[in-house]
Amino acid sequence: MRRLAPLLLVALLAGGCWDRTEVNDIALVTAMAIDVGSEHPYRLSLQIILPQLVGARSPGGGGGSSPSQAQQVAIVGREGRSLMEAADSIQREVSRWLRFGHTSFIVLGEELARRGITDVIGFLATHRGVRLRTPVYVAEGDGLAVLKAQPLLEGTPGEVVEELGSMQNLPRATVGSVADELGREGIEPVMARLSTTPALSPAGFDGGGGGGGQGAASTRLELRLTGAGLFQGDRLVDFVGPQEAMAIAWVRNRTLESLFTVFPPEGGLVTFNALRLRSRLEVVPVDPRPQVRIHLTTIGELLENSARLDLTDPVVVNRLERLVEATVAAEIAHAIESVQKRGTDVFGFGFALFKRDPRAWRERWAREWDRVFPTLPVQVTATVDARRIGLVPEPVDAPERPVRQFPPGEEGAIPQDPTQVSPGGEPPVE
Amino acid sequence: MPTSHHGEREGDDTSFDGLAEAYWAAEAQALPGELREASQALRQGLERYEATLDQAAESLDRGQRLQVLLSGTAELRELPLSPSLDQNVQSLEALFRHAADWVLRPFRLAGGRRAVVAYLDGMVDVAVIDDHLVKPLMYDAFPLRAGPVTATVQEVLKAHAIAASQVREGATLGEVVNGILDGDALLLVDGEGVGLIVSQRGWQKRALSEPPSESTIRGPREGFTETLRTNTALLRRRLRTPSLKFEAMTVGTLSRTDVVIAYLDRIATDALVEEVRSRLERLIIDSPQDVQSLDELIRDAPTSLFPTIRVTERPDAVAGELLEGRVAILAANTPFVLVVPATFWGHFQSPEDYYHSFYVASALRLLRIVFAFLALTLPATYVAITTFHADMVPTSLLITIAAAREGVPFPALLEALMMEVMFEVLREAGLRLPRQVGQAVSIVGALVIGEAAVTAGIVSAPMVILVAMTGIASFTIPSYEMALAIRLLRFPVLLAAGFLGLFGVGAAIMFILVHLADLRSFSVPYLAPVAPLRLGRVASVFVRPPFWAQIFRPSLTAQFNRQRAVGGLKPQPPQTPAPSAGSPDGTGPEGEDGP
Repeated sequence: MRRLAPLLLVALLAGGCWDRTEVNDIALVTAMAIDVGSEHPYRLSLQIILPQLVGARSPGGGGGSSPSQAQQVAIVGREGRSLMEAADSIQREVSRWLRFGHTSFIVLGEELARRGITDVIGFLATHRGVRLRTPVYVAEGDGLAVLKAQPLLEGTPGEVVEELGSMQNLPRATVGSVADELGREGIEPVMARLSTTPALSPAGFDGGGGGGGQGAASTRLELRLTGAGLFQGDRLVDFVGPQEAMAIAWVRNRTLESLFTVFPPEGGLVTFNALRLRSRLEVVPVDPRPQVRIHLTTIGELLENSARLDLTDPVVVNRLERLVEATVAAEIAHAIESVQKRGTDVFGFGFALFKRDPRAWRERWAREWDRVFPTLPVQVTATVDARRIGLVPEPVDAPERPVRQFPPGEEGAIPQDPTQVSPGGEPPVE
Repeated sequence: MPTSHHGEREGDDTSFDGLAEAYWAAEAQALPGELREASQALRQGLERYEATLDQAAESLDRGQRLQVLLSGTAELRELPLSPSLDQNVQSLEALFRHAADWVLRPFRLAGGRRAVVAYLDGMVDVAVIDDHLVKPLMYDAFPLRAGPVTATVQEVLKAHAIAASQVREGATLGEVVNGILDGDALLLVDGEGVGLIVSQRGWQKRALSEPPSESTIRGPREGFTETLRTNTALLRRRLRTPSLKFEAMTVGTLSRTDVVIAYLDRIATDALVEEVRSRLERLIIDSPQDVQSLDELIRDAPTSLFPTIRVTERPDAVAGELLEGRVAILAANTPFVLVVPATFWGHFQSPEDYYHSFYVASALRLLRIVFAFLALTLPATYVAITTFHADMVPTSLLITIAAAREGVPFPALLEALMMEVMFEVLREAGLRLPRQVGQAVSIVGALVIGEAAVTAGIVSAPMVILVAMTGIASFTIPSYEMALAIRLLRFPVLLAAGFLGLFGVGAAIMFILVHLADLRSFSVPYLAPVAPLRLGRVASVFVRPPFWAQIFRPSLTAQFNRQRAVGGLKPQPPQTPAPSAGSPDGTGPEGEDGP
């Protein structure tokens, strides 16, 4: 102990760990928007939590007096010649230390994204406080507008984006993954698109308890995650709709679940909820153009059996599976084709080719990939496994009525374009 | 009852000395040479004793009282009793001067020879002494009426007259004095140089009661008491085998505290028993205070915070430990028993473990270990994470914490220290308070700490929750000593966390671990079987194996006779029409009749 005492003292004094910061002295950044500034190249906007307004600290305990959710956060923003400069000028006006570790998402303004994101991503990836796993989105229009949205259910846009991002079939991008793809050949970054829309609710609906609810309802903005922004190099070139975004996500093995509707030949429809989605991408380097083969697998459940098929019959289920496979393959192939037309290889076909044959990629394809990519023949196959058929296999209305059998020997015509995909257009509002 | 109480004032020294002087002078001429030498020795001895007593009185200021008093009683051991009753009585009266509980009752043996019964009031059962010792001797026919001095007087008395089963002879003053001090009655007969020490101890003792510091739900309700003999009986009742040994010794030059080393012969290693014996024998101390002083005097790593000796007041726990080859040390006047060797993990085992199903017991044992760790590190981790590593906390939790801490005037470290100290104060006060006010204090404590401090914004609510959790977690540790160690260590860990963050917590835990790995308890590594890894036994640290799987004793303590049960005791349906192969003995897990 006597020998250890000086050692301990040295450890205490020379540890250099005196960067103790009380929770009271930090400002938590929960979201970040990066746009093109009006005077300077960058405008950095930060959404900061105001902890004193979070939670009901009133002794009465009733929720009525708690501040409305929009007031729990504040948005601060500054312009700068560089992002660090902008951050620094924000810091100078905020009395607490900015902490970026809890940033739940970063949204890049459309204009900035079209200008090029290399510097921005480089800054974010090298900044000590920002995590590489922070999700990155591209805004439709202004990034700051996203931060200003006042979502209904969650407290802050950060939470909404976090939830939506984990629920939807969108390609996911993080600071790390974008940085990675920027430096990689044969694959281009893709980010989910964040946009704002007027609130879902009719005016006055959200007036819960606060006094000034009437005016806020009309101007309140909800957040939407729809489609994706495609990048060529570090520039945003185009947006695509949800179908294409889902296809991209599936090919990149990032999809959670998706719905497919099939129309059996005898009328009605059956919905297939694809749950476990996997894909295998293979690019065969043959002349004149490499062959792309994508094999999709999914395990899911059959729902909404308005075709009145007997789902307890394995033969029926088997035929339905084949039908779903054809539908899935057709839809995804269609979406891929639509993306190919944009000319940017967000699927990573080029990278797959590089992995398959690095020499051929470097000598033959790398230079003219942008030209070759839109014309690549893509062959999509699917394997569907319908494991579940729902709780009530018979139609609920008339159990005594015989359930129709799927006509044997007939596969049924595959509908050409079951869902009328509108590539790049506005997503259908439900 | 015509007993004579001496004690308030029994002659002054000069008159006594003068009388004795004269007596001895006269006797020196009358008696034969051998007897004269003996009486001279007695005289010299008494003089030396007087001298040492004087010296003791003088040396009070010099702080050597202990040594002198020690040699004072040691002197007595050599002094033979005189055949003269008067001489013996005088010696005893001199020794027990100013002792109000001293009783000396002279009488005549059936009207013949003079005799005295002497004892200390309150230590003996007076009624029994009167009925079974004095009365038969006084009234009943005594076979040797005023006959000539024979060597068989003691034998005759023992064989025919004294109705007590524990009688022994004492030939020296030391023996009879110690007998009296132990609570025996002394019978001296005129003309006999040997006293009879009759054991009729009967002091007030507490009845068996439930051990308050280690209560169990399902276990036996009896705990040790302050009476050593009762305690050994409690053990003997559980291990009815001659191989249960109780080695008696005396520690304490003034208190002469009886200490018993209990072990199972041929199960505990001889080396261990010998080590315990030698560590106890080297103790020269006036009076050990409870077993705690024995603990501190014989333990390994005397400056360590961690208990290297287990202290328990449950006979069933001690019996279980003995069966695993450990050694128990019992002492008089305390219901607590020391058990050695003790390991770190042993302190997380409760007797309760053996009274529950092994699933439940294992889960609880794991829970205790986890929460002991939490009790050590929870406030420290909170302080470290919130002040150094805020990025580690999930965002929503951090926002909640930040909201709660908003407006708290102190840094988290100070807040935690304050609350922890306050909690310890409340706990200590709760222990010390008279039961009647205890409730009031706990209400005040709960309100002040829990409610008012948060409402006033002096501390944050999460901190109160954490401190409460920590406090409760520390109560899950079955061993009170271990709980104390962990409670105390929490503060250094907290400080390290406040200065260095999680790095500090890690460093503090490493420091503690290194220290633990360094400890030994009676040559058993303290962290065994985890630190010197014994794969076969590690599981039993964290789970309580079912009884049919406990086939062997731990090898670190049990040397011989390692098998404690035969294999294949797991109940299962009979394969064939059951061949009755029951083992007759259900009590003693001897393991001898195994294959």
